Amino acid sequence: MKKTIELNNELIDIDIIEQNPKFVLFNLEGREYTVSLESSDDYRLNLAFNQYNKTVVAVDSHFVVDGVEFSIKAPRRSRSKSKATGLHQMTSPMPGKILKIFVKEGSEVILGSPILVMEAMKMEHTIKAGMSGKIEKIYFKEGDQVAGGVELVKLC
Amino acid sequence: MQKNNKIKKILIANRGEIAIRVSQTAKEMGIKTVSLYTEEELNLPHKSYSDESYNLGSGPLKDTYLNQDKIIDIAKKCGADAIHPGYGFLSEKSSFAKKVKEAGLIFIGPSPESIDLMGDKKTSKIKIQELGVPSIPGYHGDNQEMSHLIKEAHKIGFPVLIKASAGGGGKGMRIVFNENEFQAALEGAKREALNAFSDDTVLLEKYITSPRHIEIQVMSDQHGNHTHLFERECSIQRRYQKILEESPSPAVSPELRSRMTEAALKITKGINYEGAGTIELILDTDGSFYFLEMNTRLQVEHPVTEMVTGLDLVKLQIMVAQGDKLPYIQSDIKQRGHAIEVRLYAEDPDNDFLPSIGTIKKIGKSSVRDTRLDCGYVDGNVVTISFDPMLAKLISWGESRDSATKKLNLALNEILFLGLKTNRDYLKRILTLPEFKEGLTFTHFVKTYEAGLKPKEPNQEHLALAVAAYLFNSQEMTGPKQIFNKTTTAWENLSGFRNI
Repeated sequence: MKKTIELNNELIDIDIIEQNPKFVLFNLEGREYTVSLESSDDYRLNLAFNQYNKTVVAVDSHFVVDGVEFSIKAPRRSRSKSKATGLHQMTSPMPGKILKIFVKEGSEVILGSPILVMEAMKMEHTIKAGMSGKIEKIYFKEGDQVAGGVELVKLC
Repeated sequence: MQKNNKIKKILIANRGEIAIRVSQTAKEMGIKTVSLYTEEELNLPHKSYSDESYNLGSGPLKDTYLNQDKIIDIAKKCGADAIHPGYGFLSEKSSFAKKVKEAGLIFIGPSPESIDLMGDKKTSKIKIQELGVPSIPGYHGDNQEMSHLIKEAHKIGFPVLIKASAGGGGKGMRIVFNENEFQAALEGAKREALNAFSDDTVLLEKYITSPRHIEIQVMSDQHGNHTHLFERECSIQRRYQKILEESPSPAVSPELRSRMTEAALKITKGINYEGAGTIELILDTDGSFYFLEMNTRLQVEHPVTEMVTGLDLVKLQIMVAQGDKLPYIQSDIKQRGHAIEVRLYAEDPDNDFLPSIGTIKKIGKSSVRDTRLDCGYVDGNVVTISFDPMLAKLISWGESRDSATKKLNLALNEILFLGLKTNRDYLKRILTLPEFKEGLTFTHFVKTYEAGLKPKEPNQEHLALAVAAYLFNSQEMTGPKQIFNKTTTAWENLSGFRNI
């Protein structure tokens, strides 16, 4: 049975050859894996893979193996808005205050040049241009309080 | 004669892991504890860990954890006889120490005079020079005009460090390599300083190219006994804030150690210091060192000292504050083995260490021996932008630096803070970097080894096991797993807060 999963925000296909509650045989990127579930507690699964034993932490879409975290979930039916965010959109990474804006509408900027400085958690963070281009629109002014994930500036 | 002085109830004027840490020791000493919390912190564990807790309300910090009168008022009303300030917040405000004393309470910390003297970067350096301890060449004058500061910078010689006079924690700090960068850096430093400390006075300092940050833990009592508890190296920093601390330092020889600790004791004796403190020193590659500043409080990284000396620093603070003599003499204290602490932060190391927010879905627990977690959160807590993004400190002890490193790296596989962007994986990258093993820990470590500290490609078997776990979990499940998944969803809905 073919199945598509979203792994670290990328879609990948796996082929499940056999599966029951204690055992799974699947093909991932050209290699077959046989894994059995030995035991589990409220957030950890003890798996056996060939002769190896591994504990995997599994909480919602978070999976951790030997300290390495993976995000795995069923693919979303519609692409989320954040996915549509392009390099031409500069969004606030978190709630905070706009301290200083270095550009004006119409200014030409190059990739990586500072656009504005935000303050959050009493530290300053510089928002840099995600691509080279022209500032089409600035949505805020210095001193404004902004929420997280809000579009700050439009580049074209 | 001192029987009446024994502390019976301590109000902790702090939050998070340090509030819990102080409570732990107080409980062990048979002392009652009082904790504080804000409207935002109703579910945080420091609220319920103490014997009593009081609500500071909501609003900006000046109305809550920085509201001196409100806190002293609560202490008096609840019958506390002492206040422990923790670190940060009011811990280095002499006005607070003074008010606490005037209210007839014991301030667990040094005298207001010591805080004043050492808290100001200018007066402390003058005092330190009098005592014969070297400090870094710099400009600490009142003339804050741009042209004058540029002239002074030339006198010191570039590169130069601009620092907020009232500063700390890297806020209001900039390195400037030439005159062209000076104006923008000065403006930024002043802006940050004004915001954080309501004072935009800056000072200039010679910037040492390959420095290490070494600090000496000191402990003095009210009877003129001044001791040191050896050094900690805290060179690995990002945004001028420490992320990894260890004791002993791989760079400090016995000879250097004795020179550094001697200098530290010169200071504590010279200012008649009381309680716990830290003398921060900058070590140059040639073995010369300079006084940086003194922190007149308990340090975030005090656990590494506790693990190598076997002492409880909070207990010593409390004993000293109630007038007891230190229960040891200098020669009793040995550095045994090696301890390393890492600070887990809610931040994205791969995006300029930008702080992150969200709900902690799972912290996890460590099964590694000789490992300690000092943590101010429990599963389900929400991390907001209102407070410091430090989530917890994880500390491992080993007989050697290598064994402490390995234990800590293992523990970081289990202390996860799932649900948030954290620096956990980044800390693992540091611990496994060959240059860390070699002890090449300079304060610009993070920048120097940037390329080696980038995220690694996951290995295919790890990936396959994660996918297998996903497949097991996404089947129709029976038993505890299903109940767990349901509760997870339930509290996510309750908190009304989606992780972003």
